Amino acid sequence: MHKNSRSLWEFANPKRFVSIANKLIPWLTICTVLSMSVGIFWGVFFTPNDYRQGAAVKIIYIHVPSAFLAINIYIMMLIASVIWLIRRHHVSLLAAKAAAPIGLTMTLVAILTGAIWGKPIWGTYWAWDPRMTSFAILLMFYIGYISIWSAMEYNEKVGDLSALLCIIGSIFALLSRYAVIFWNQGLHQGASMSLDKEENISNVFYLPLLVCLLGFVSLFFTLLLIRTRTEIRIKRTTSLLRMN
Amino acid sequence: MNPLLYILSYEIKASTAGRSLFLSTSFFIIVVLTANISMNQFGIRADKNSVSILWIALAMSALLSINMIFQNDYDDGTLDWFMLSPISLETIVILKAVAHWVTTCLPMMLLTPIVCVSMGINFNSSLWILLVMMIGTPAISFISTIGSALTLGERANHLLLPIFILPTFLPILVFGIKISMLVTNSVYDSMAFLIMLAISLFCIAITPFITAIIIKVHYT
Repeated sequence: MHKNSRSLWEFANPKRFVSIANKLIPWLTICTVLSMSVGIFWGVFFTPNDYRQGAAVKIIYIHVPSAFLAINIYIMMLIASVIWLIRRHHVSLLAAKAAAPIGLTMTLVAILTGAIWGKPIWGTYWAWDPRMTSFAILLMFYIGYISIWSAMEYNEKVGDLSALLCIIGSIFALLSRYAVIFWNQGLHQGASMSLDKEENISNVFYLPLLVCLLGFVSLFFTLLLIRTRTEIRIKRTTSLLRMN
Repeated sequence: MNPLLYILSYEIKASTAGRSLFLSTSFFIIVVLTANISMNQFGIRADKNSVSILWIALAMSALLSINMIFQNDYDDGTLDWFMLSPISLETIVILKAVAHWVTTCLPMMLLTPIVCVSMGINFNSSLWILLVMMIGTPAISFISTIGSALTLGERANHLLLPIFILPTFLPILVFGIKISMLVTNSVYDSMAFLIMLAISLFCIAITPFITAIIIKVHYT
Protein backbone atom coordinates (compact mmCIF):
# COMPACT_ATOMS: atom_id res chain seq x y z
CA MET A 1 0.00 0.00 0.00
CA HIS A 2 1.19 3.52 -0.74
CA LYS A 3 2.58 5.23 2.31
CA ASN A 4 0.38 8.31 2.12
CA SER A 5 -2.82 6.55 1.15
CA ARG A 6 -5.33 6.87 3.94
CA SER A 7 -7.72 4.10 4.76
CA LEU A 8 -10.09 3.14 7.51
CA TRP A 9 -7.70 0.42 8.67
CA GLU A 10 -5.23 3.01 9.99
CA PHE A 11 -7.45 3.28 13.04
CA ALA A 12 -6.85 -0.41 13.74
CA ASN A 13 -3.40 0.52 15.01
CA PRO A 14 -3.85 0.38 18.81
CA LYS A 15 -1.50 3.32 19.45
CA ARG A 16 -3.34 5.53 16.99
CA PHE A 17 -6.66 4.35 18.35
CA VAL A 18 -5.69 5.31 21.89
CA SER A 19 -4.46 8.77 20.88
CA ILE A 20 -7.66 9.46 18.93
CA ALA A 21 -9.76 8.08 21.78
CA ASN A 22 -7.96 10.38 24.23
CA LYS A 23 -8.92 13.37 22.10
CA LEU A 24 -12.50 12.26 21.50
CA ILE A 25 -13.52 11.15 24.98
CA PRO A 26 -13.87 14.67 26.57
CA TRP A 27 -15.97 15.95 23.65
CA LEU A 28 -18.16 12.87 23.65
CA THR A 29 -18.63 13.18 27.42
CA ILE A 30 -19.79 16.80 27.04
CA CYS A 31 -22.13 15.78 24.21
CA THR A 32 -23.56 12.94 26.31
CA VAL A 33 -24.16 15.05 29.40
CA LEU A 34 -25.72 17.90 27.39
CA SER A 35 -28.01 15.88 25.17
CA MET A 36 -29.11 13.43 27.86
CA SER A 37 -29.96 16.16 30.35
CA VAL A 38 -31.64 18.36 27.74
CA GLY A 39 -33.55 15.42 26.26
CA ILE A 40 -34.75 13.98 29.54
CA PHE A 41 -35.66 17.39 31.07
CA TRP A 42 -37.47 18.42 27.89
CA GLY A 43 -39.24 15.09 27.72
CA VAL A 44 -40.25 14.85 31.35
CA PHE A 45 -41.19 18.47 32.15
CA PHE A 46 -42.11 20.16 28.87
CA THR A 47 -44.22 17.63 27.04
CA PRO A 48 -47.91 16.96 27.69
CA ASN A 49 -49.13 13.74 29.24
CA ASP A 50 -50.56 11.19 26.89
CA TYR A 51 -54.36 11.27 26.88
CA ARG A 52 -54.60 7.55 27.66
CA GLN A 53 -51.36 6.67 29.39
CA GLY A 54 -50.98 9.81 31.55
CA ALA A 55 -47.49 10.52 32.90
CA ALA A 56 -46.40 6.91 32.40
CA VAL A 57 -45.63 7.72 28.77
CA LYS A 58 -42.51 9.60 29.88
CA ILE A 59 -40.53 6.43 30.46
CA ILE A 60 -40.30 6.27 26.67
CA TYR A 61 -37.32 8.66 26.86
CA ILE A 62 -35.25 5.94 28.51
CA HIS A 63 -36.96 2.83 27.23
CA VAL A 64 -36.77 3.43 23.49
CA PRO A 65 -33.10 4.59 23.33
CA SER A 66 -31.92 1.73 25.54
CA ALA A 67 -33.84 -0.83 23.51
CA PHE A 68 -32.44 0.70 20.32
CA LEU A 69 -28.91 0.42 21.72
CA ALA A 70 -29.42 -3.10 23.07
CA ILE A 71 -30.11 -4.42 19.58
CA ASN A 72 -27.58 -2.27 17.74
CA ILE A 73 -24.73 -3.02 20.14
CA TYR A 74 -25.15 -6.70 19.34
CA ILE A 75 -25.00 -5.88 15.62
CA MET A 76 -21.88 -3.77 16.28
CA MET A 77 -20.31 -6.70 18.16
CA LEU A 78 -21.16 -8.97 15.24
CA ILE A 79 -19.49 -6.63 12.74
CA ALA A 80 -16.43 -6.20 14.97
CA SER A 81 -16.15 -9.97 15.39
CA VAL A 82 -16.33 -10.54 11.65
CA ILE A 83 -13.64 -7.89 11.12
CA TRP A 84 -11.47 -9.66 13.69
CA LEU A 85 -11.94 -13.02 11.98
CA ILE A 86 -11.09 -11.62 8.55
CA ARG A 87 -8.46 -8.94 9.16
CA ARG A 88 -7.24 -9.89 12.65
CA HIS A 89 -7.19 -6.39 14.13
CA HIS A 90 -6.96 -6.63 17.89
CA VAL A 91 -8.73 -3.31 18.42
CA SER A 92 -11.80 -4.70 16.70
CA LEU A 93 -11.88 -7.77 18.94
CA LEU A 94 -11.29 -5.68 22.06
CA ALA A 95 -14.07 -3.30 21.02
CA ALA A 96 -16.48 -6.23 20.75
CA LYS A 97 -15.35 -7.48 24.14
CA ALA A 98 -15.74 -3.99 25.63
CA ALA A 99 -19.18 -3.46 24.10
CA ALA A 100 -20.80 -6.64 25.47
CA PRO A 101 -21.33 -5.51 29.10
CA ILE A 102 -22.71 -2.16 27.87
CA GLY A 103 -25.15 -4.04 25.66
CA LEU A 104 -26.16 -6.30 28.54
CA THR A 105 -26.80 -3.26 30.72
CA MET A 106 -28.89 -1.60 28.01
CA THR A 107 -30.94 -4.80 27.58
CA LEU A 108 -31.58 -4.90 31.33
CA VAL A 109 -32.49 -1.19 31.38
CA ALA A 110 -34.93 -1.72 28.49
CA ILE A 111 -36.53 -4.73 30.20
CA LEU A 112 -36.77 -2.97 33.58
CA THR A 113 -38.23 0.29 32.23
CA GLY A 114 -40.63 -1.75 30.13
CA ALA A 115 -41.73 -3.66 33.22
CA ILE A 116 -42.23 -0.45 35.23
CA TRP A 117 -44.29 1.00 32.38
CA GLY A 118 -46.16 -2.23 31.76
CA LYS A 119 -47.59 -2.55 35.28
CA PRO A 120 -49.90 0.51 35.17
CA ILE A 121 -50.68 0.32 31.43
CA TRP A 122 -50.95 -3.40 30.63
CA GLY A 123 -51.55 -4.52 34.20
CA THR A 124 -48.54 -6.81 34.22
CA TYR A 125 -44.80 -6.47 34.66
CA TRP A 126 -43.98 -9.13 32.14
CA ALA A 127 -45.75 -11.09 29.45
CA TRP A 128 -44.34 -13.62 27.01
CA ASP A 129 -44.99 -11.33 24.11
CA PRO A 130 -42.70 -11.80 21.05
CA ARG A 131 -40.88 -8.47 21.42
CA MET A 132 -40.24 -9.04 25.10
CA THR A 133 -39.30 -12.65 24.48
CA SER A 134 -36.76 -11.53 21.90
CA PHE A 135 -35.22 -9.28 24.54
CA ALA A 136 -35.02 -12.24 26.90
CA ILE A 137 -33.31 -14.16 24.10
CA LEU A 138 -30.93 -11.26 23.48
CA LEU A 139 -30.12 -11.20 27.19
CA MET A 140 -29.20 -14.90 27.10
CA PHE A 141 -26.86 -14.46 24.15
CA TYR A 142 -25.16 -11.45 25.78
CA ILE A 143 -24.63 -13.56 28.91
CA GLY A 144 -23.21 -16.39 26.81
CA TYR A 145 -20.77 -14.06 25.05
CA ILE A 146 -19.62 -12.43 28.29
CA SER A 147 -19.29 -15.79 30.04
CA ILE A 148 -16.85 -17.12 27.46
CA TRP A 149 -14.62 -14.08 28.07
CA SER A 150 -14.92 -14.32 31.83
CA ALA A 151 -14.11 -18.03 31.87
CA MET A 152 -10.92 -17.96 29.84
CA GLU A 153 -7.79 -15.86 29.78
CA TYR A 154 -7.26 -13.43 26.92
CA ASN A 155 -5.50 -14.91 23.93
CA GLU A 156 -6.08 -15.13 20.20
CA LYS A 157 -7.74 -18.53 20.48
CA VAL A 158 -10.36 -17.26 22.92
CA GLY A 159 -10.78 -14.24 20.64
CA ASP A 160 -11.61 -16.53 17.72
CA LEU A 161 -13.97 -18.61 19.85
CA SER A 162 -15.80 -15.55 21.15
CA ALA A 163 -16.11 -14.09 17.65
CA LEU A 164 -17.52 -17.37 16.35
CA LEU A 165 -19.86 -17.55 19.34
CA CYS A 166 -21.10 -14.04 18.50
CA ILE A 167 -21.88 -15.10 14.91
CA ILE A 168 -23.55 -18.36 16.00
CA GLY A 169 -25.47 -16.42 18.64
CA SER A 170 -26.83 -13.94 16.13
CA ILE A 171 -27.98 -16.74 13.79
CA PHE A 172 -29.79 -18.58 16.57
CA ALA A 173 -31.13 -15.41 18.20
CA LEU A 174 -32.77 -14.48 14.87
CA LEU A 175 -34.12 -18.00 14.38
CA SER A 176 -35.55 -18.06 17.91
CA ARG A 177 -37.08 -14.62 17.44
CA TYR A 178 -38.93 -15.66 14.31
CA ALA A 179 -39.87 -19.01 15.85
CA VAL A 180 -41.54 -17.08 18.67
CA ILE A 181 -43.21 -14.58 16.31
CA PHE A 182 -44.61 -17.46 14.23
CA TRP A 183 -46.81 -18.60 17.08
CA ASN A 184 -47.73 -15.30 18.69
CA GLN A 185 -48.42 -11.89 17.22
CA GLY A 186 -48.20 -10.14 20.56
CA LEU A 187 -49.22 -7.31 22.78
CA HIS A 188 -46.38 -4.82 22.32
CA GLN A 189 -47.02 -1.81 20.05
CA GLY A 190 -45.06 -1.35 16.82
CA ALA A 191 -41.87 0.65 16.46
CA SER A 192 -42.12 4.19 17.82
CA MET A 193 -39.77 5.87 15.37
CA SER A 194 -39.30 3.73 12.30
CA LEU A 195 -38.37 5.59 9.15
CA ASP A 196 -40.61 3.74 6.72
CA LYS A 197 -43.92 3.90 8.52
CA GLU A 198 -46.83 6.29 7.95
CA GLU A 199 -47.81 6.52 11.58
CA ASN A 200 -45.18 7.33 14.18
CA ILE A 201 -45.55 9.01 17.52
CA SER A 202 -46.45 12.70 17.38
CA ASN A 203 -43.77 15.38 16.97
CA VAL A 204 -44.24 16.67 20.53
CA PHE A 205 -42.74 13.42 21.78
CA TYR A 206 -40.58 12.72 18.77
CA LEU A 207 -38.13 15.63 19.07
CA PRO A 208 -37.11 15.15 22.73
CA LEU A 209 -36.92 11.42 22.02
CA LEU A 210 -34.48 12.13 19.20
CA VAL A 211 -32.31 14.21 21.58
CA CYS A 212 -32.40 11.39 24.14
CA LEU A 213 -31.43 8.92 21.46
CA LEU A 214 -28.45 11.09 20.54
CA GLY A 215 -27.53 11.21 24.23
CA PHE A 216 -27.67 7.44 24.63
CA VAL A 217 -25.71 6.82 21.44
CA SER A 218 -22.96 9.21 22.51
CA LEU A 219 -23.03 7.64 25.98
CA PHE A 220 -22.42 4.31 24.29
CA PHE A 221 -19.53 5.67 22.23
CA THR A 222 -17.96 7.33 25.28
CA LEU A 223 -18.16 4.15 27.32
CA LEU A 224 -17.00 2.05 24.38
CA LEU A 225 -13.91 4.21 23.80
CA ILE A 226 -13.04 4.25 27.51
CA ARG A 227 -13.52 0.50 27.87
CA THR A 228 -11.62 -0.34 24.68
CA ARG A 229 -8.76 1.92 25.79
CA THR A 230 -8.70 0.08 29.12
CA GLU A 231 -8.70 -3.29 27.36
CA ILE A 232 -5.78 -2.21 25.17
CA ARG A 233 -3.84 -1.09 28.23
CA ILE A 234 -4.61 -4.36 30.06
CA LYS A 235 -3.38 -6.31 27.06
CA ARG A 236 -0.17 -4.25 26.89
CA THR A 237 0.46 -4.64 30.60
CA THR A 238 -0.05 -8.38 30.57
CA SER A 239 2.24 -8.88 27.60
CA LEU A 240 4.90 -6.68 29.27
CA LEU A 241 4.61 -8.71 32.46
CA ARG A 242 4.89 -11.92 30.48
CA MET A 243 8.10 -10.67 28.83
CA ASN A 244 9.86 -10.16 32.16
CA MET B 1 -14.82 -51.83 5.43
CA ASN B 2 -15.76 -48.34 4.40
CA PRO B 3 -13.73 -45.93 6.57
CA LEU B 4 -16.75 -43.72 7.25
CA LEU B 5 -18.81 -46.67 8.47
CA TYR B 6 -15.86 -47.80 10.54
CA ILE B 7 -15.55 -44.40 12.24
CA LEU B 8 -19.30 -44.31 12.86
CA SER B 9 -19.38 -47.77 14.43
CA TYR B 10 -16.26 -46.91 16.46
CA GLU B 11 -17.96 -43.75 17.75
CA ILE B 12 -21.14 -45.60 18.69
CA LYS B 13 -19.16 -48.33 20.42
CA ALA B 14 -17.07 -45.78 22.29
CA SER B 15 -20.14 -43.97 23.64
CA THR B 16 -22.03 -47.15 24.56
CA ALA B 17 -18.97 -48.60 26.25
CA GLY B 18 -18.77 -45.58 28.52
CA ARG B 19 -21.56 -44.79 30.93
CA SER B 20 -22.97 -41.84 28.97
CA LEU B 21 -25.76 -43.87 27.33
CA PHE B 22 -27.04 -45.15 30.66
CA LEU B 23 -26.57 -41.79 32.36
CA SER B 24 -28.43 -39.68 29.81
CA THR B 25 -31.42 -42.02 29.53
CA SER B 26 -31.75 -42.35 33.29
CA PHE B 27 -31.40 -38.58 33.66
CA PHE B 28 -34.22 -38.17 31.14
CA ILE B 29 -36.53 -40.56 33.01
CA ILE B 30 -35.71 -39.02 36.37
CA VAL B 31 -36.30 -35.42 35.27
CA VAL B 32 -39.64 -36.31 33.68
CA LEU B 33 -40.78 -38.34 36.68
CA THR B 34 -39.76 -35.85 39.38
CA ALA B 35 -41.33 -32.96 37.47
CA ASN B 36 -44.59 -34.85 37.01
CA ILE B 37 -44.75 -36.10 40.57
CA SER B 38 -44.06 -32.67 42.05
CA MET B 39 -46.61 -31.01 39.78
CA ASN B 40 -49.29 -33.54 40.60
CA GLN B 41 -48.86 -32.82 44.31
CA PHE B 42 -50.08 -29.27 43.83
CA GLY B 43 -53.05 -30.28 41.78
CA ILE B 44 -51.66 -28.79 38.57
CA ARG B 45 -52.88 -30.82 35.64
CA ALA B 46 -49.73 -32.52 34.45
CA ASP B 47 -50.79 -33.29 30.88
CA LYS B 48 -50.92 -29.61 29.90
CA ASN B 49 -47.30 -28.94 30.82
CA SER B 50 -45.91 -32.42 30.47
CA VAL B 51 -45.06 -31.95 26.81
CA SER B 52 -42.75 -29.03 27.60
CA ILE B 53 -41.22 -31.01 30.46
CA LEU B 54 -40.59 -33.86 28.05
CA TRP B 55 -38.77 -31.60 25.59
CA ILE B 56 -36.76 -29.75 28.21
CA ALA B 57 -35.75 -33.06 29.82
CA LEU B 58 -34.68 -34.23 26.37
CA ALA B 59 -32.59 -31.11 25.73
CA MET B 60 -30.98 -31.29 29.15
CA SER B 61 -30.12 -34.98 28.86
CA ALA B 62 -28.58 -34.28 25.46
CA LEU B 63 -26.50 -31.57 27.19
CA LEU B 64 -25.17 -34.09 29.71
CA SER B 65 -23.26 -36.04 27.10
CA ILE B 66 -22.10 -33.08 24.99
CA ASN B 67 -18.74 -32.89 26.73
CA MET B 68 -17.83 -36.33 25.57
CA ILE B 69 -18.30 -35.72 21.82
CA PHE B 70 -14.80 -34.35 21.21
CA GLN B 71 -13.10 -34.18 24.61
CA ASN B 72 -11.76 -37.77 24.75
CA ASP B 73 -10.52 -37.61 21.18
CA TYR B 74 -8.87 -34.28 21.90
CA ASP B 75 -7.13 -35.66 24.99
CA ASP B 76 -5.81 -38.87 23.47
CA GLY B 77 -4.84 -37.36 20.14
CA THR B 78 -7.44 -39.07 17.94
CA LEU B 79 -8.63 -35.66 16.84
CA ASP B 80 -5.12 -34.86 15.55
CA TRP B 81 -5.34 -37.92 13.32
CA PHE B 82 -8.77 -36.87 12.13
CA MET B 83 -7.29 -33.48 11.22
CA LEU B 84 -4.51 -35.17 9.23
CA SER B 85 -6.70 -37.80 7.57
CA PRO B 86 -7.96 -37.38 3.98
CA ILE B 87 -11.55 -37.39 5.27
CA SER B 88 -12.67 -33.79 5.77
CA LEU B 89 -13.27 -32.54 9.28
CA GLU B 90 -16.86 -31.64 8.36
CA THR B 91 -17.57 -35.30 7.57
CA ILE B 92 -16.10 -36.33 10.91
CA VAL B 93 -18.38 -33.82 12.64
CA ILE B 94 -21.41 -35.25 10.83
CA LEU B 95 -20.43 -38.78 11.90
CA LYS B 96 -19.94 -37.61 15.49
CA ALA B 97 -23.34 -35.93 15.50
CA VAL B 98 -25.01 -39.04 14.08
CA ALA B 99 -23.31 -41.18 16.73
CA HIS B 100 -24.45 -38.74 19.42
CA TRP B 101 -28.00 -38.92 18.08
CA VAL B 102 -27.99 -42.72 18.01
CA THR B 103 -26.58 -43.08 21.51
CA THR B 104 -28.45 -40.32 23.36
CA CYS B 105 -31.52 -39.12 21.48
CA LEU B 106 -32.70 -42.44 20.04
CA PRO B 107 -32.93 -44.28 23.39
CA MET B 108 -34.84 -41.34 24.86
CA MET B 109 -37.21 -41.33 21.91
CA LEU B 110 -37.84 -45.06 22.32
CA LEU B 111 -38.81 -44.36 25.92
CA THR B 112 -41.10 -41.48 24.96
CA PRO B 113 -44.32 -43.48 24.29
CA ILE B 114 -44.03 -45.18 27.69
CA VAL B 115 -43.27 -41.90 29.46
CA CYS B 116 -46.17 -40.19 27.62
CA VAL B 117 -48.63 -42.83 28.80
CA SER B 118 -47.46 -42.27 32.37
CA MET B 119 -48.28 -38.58 31.92
CA GLY B 120 -51.80 -39.20 30.68
CA ILE B 121 -51.19 -38.57 26.98
CA ASN B 122 -52.90 -41.21 24.85
CA PHE B 123 -50.82 -43.61 22.80
CA ASN B 124 -51.90 -42.26 19.42
CA SER B 125 -50.76 -38.71 20.28
CA SER B 126 -47.53 -40.01 21.73
CA LEU B 127 -46.64 -41.50 18.34
CA TRP B 128 -47.17 -38.05 16.80
CA ILE B 129 -44.95 -36.54 19.49
CA LEU B 130 -42.38 -39.17 18.58
CA LEU B 131 -42.53 -38.01 14.96
CA VAL B 132 -42.00 -34.38 16.02
CA MET B 133 -39.04 -35.49 18.11
CA MET B 134 -37.68 -37.41 15.15
CA ILE B 135 -37.64 -34.11 13.24
CA GLY B 136 -36.21 -32.02 16.10
CA THR B 137 -33.62 -34.19 17.82
CA PRO B 138 -31.12 -34.50 14.93
CA ALA B 139 -30.78 -30.72 15.00
CA ILE B 140 -30.19 -30.86 18.77
CA SER B 141 -27.41 -33.40 18.24
CA PHE B 142 -25.81 -31.32 15.51
CA ILE B 143 -25.97 -28.10 17.55
CA SER B 144 -24.43 -29.99 20.47
CA THR B 145 -21.24 -30.49 18.48
CA ILE B 146 -20.78 -26.70 18.43
CA GLY B 147 -20.84 -26.61 22.22
CA SER B 148 -18.49 -29.53 22.53
CA ALA B 149 -16.01 -27.92 20.15
CA LEU B 150 -16.21 -24.52 21.88
CA THR B 151 -15.23 -25.83 25.31
CA LEU B 152 -12.46 -28.21 24.16
CA GLY B 153 -9.62 -28.35 26.63
CA GLU B 154 -11.49 -26.30 29.23
CA ARG B 155 -11.87 -29.03 31.84
CA ALA B 156 -12.81 -26.63 34.63
CA ASN B 157 -15.53 -24.92 32.64
CA HIS B 158 -18.24 -27.53 32.21
CA LEU B 159 -20.67 -25.03 33.64
CA LEU B 160 -19.92 -22.76 30.71
CA LEU B 161 -21.43 -25.12 28.16
CA PRO B 162 -25.14 -24.99 29.06
CA ILE B 163 -24.96 -21.19 29.27
CA PHE B 164 -24.45 -20.80 25.57
CA ILE B 165 -25.79 -24.07 24.19
CA LEU B 166 -29.21 -24.18 25.84
CA PRO B 167 -30.36 -20.88 24.21
CA THR B 168 -29.40 -22.22 20.77
CA PHE B 169 -31.87 -25.08 21.23
CA LEU B 170 -34.67 -22.51 21.51
CA PRO B 171 -35.96 -22.50 17.91
CA ILE B 172 -36.28 -26.30 17.95
CA LEU B 173 -37.79 -26.30 21.43
CA VAL B 174 -40.35 -23.58 20.65
CA PHE B 175 -41.58 -25.34 17.53
CA GLY B 176 -41.31 -28.85 18.98
CA ILE B 177 -43.28 -28.03 22.10
CA LYS B 178 -45.95 -26.06 20.26
CA ILE B 179 -46.52 -28.72 17.60
CA SER B 180 -46.53 -31.48 20.23
CA MET B 181 -49.15 -29.54 22.19
CA LEU B 182 -51.29 -29.10 19.08
CA VAL B 183 -50.96 -32.80 18.36
CA THR B 184 -52.10 -33.80 21.85
CA ASN B 185 -55.20 -31.69 21.20
CA SER B 186 -55.72 -33.49 17.86
CA VAL B 187 -54.79 -30.51 15.68
CA TYR B 188 -52.45 -31.29 12.80
CA ASP B 189 -50.77 -28.22 11.31
CA SER B 190 -48.77 -29.40 8.30
CA MET B 191 -47.39 -25.88 7.69
CA ALA B 192 -45.82 -25.79 11.16
CA PHE B 193 -44.42 -29.27 10.59
CA LEU B 194 -42.75 -28.13 7.40
CA ILE B 195 -41.27 -25.01 9.01
CA MET B 196 -39.90 -27.08 11.86
CA LEU B 197 -38.39 -29.46 9.33
CA ALA B 198 -36.83 -26.45 7.57
CA ILE B 199 -35.32 -25.09 10.79
CA SER B 200 -34.00 -28.54 11.68
CA LEU B 201 -32.46 -29.04 8.24
CA PHE B 202 -30.96 -25.54 8.34
CA CYS B 203 -29.25 -26.31 11.65
CA ILE B 204 -28.01 -29.64 10.31
CA ALA B 205 -26.70 -27.96 7.18
CA ILE B 206 -24.68 -25.18 8.83
CA THR B 207 -23.37 -26.76 12.04
CA PRO B 208 -20.75 -29.16 10.55
CA PHE B 209 -18.98 -26.20 8.94
CA ILE B 210 -19.14 -24.05 12.09
CA THR B 211 -17.90 -26.90 14.27
CA ALA B 212 -15.06 -27.69 11.87
CA ILE B 213 -13.96 -24.03 11.95
CA ILE B 214 -14.05 -24.02 15.76
CA ILE B 215 -11.97 -27.22 15.97
CA LYS B 216 -9.41 -25.75 13.58
CA VAL B 217 -9.13 -22.71 15.89
CA HIS B 218 -7.96 -25.04 18.66
CA TYR B 219 -5.15 -26.33 16.45
CA THR B 220 -3.73 -23.05 15.13
